[in-house]
Amino acid sequence: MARLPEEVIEALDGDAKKCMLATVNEDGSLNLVHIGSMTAIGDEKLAYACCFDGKTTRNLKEGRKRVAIAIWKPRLEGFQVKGAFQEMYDSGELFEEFSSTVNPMMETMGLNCKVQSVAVIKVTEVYALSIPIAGERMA
Amino acid sequence: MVEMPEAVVAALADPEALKVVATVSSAGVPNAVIVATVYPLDPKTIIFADLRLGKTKENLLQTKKFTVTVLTQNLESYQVKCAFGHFEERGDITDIIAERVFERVRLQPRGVVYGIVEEVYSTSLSSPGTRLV
Repeated sequence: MARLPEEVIEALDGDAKKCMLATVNEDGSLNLVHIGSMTAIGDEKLAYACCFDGKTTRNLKEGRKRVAIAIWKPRLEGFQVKGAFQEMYDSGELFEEFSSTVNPMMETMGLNCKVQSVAVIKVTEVYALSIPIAGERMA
Repeated sequence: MVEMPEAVVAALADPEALKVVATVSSAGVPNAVIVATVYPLDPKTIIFADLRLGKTKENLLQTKKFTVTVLTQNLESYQVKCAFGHFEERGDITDIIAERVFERVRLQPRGVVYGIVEEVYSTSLSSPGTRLV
């Protein structure tokens, strides 16, 4: 277990941040997708809303369960959080919290989909991705 | 070998688009890094500079594959799965990339990574997971 440094939590709180989540299936095949709802839960976990029952969700449930998240904070800051899938919630406080913010956004964008579950990831390592310190371990 | 659709080539060539490269180790641990130098050399080939590639390079040598996901400012997103081709330390393309990289970040790349496009998916919210090629 590692703790998210303050600057990573701050980046995740920002509206302009972009996150991409890499997962791996049982055969070692990669999947890398943009996740708009990635959020820090305290300083040891991340959570995001799963709106589609696709490869990412399947990889977390049935695949290697290890993830890497690239976080970009415009214009020049970046971080990589490595973690392990912990749990998927399809009810409860966290699920309701994500549903109440993500579902209206989806509707505004004209997308006919809703939060199906919320995935929680335990943080294991954190790295800087910004030049010139890219690759340095932060936690 | 497959060819990327025009919209995907355009997204990868867009300097304002966010590009992330993911690799995986032989133990199945993923690695995901922001790589601004990702560029479509042609519809079948993706290249990017080896600027400070550590784990990414290690993984490429181990498992011989990588995935690039691009996200444009209009929130169009595509995932391109590639087979690792080779590293090029010297050559015309490497010289051009080195010049561009040096202009932007004042760092000299160690070379260029070549990838061969194998699969292309839409990862936009309007059609997530749809295979394009």
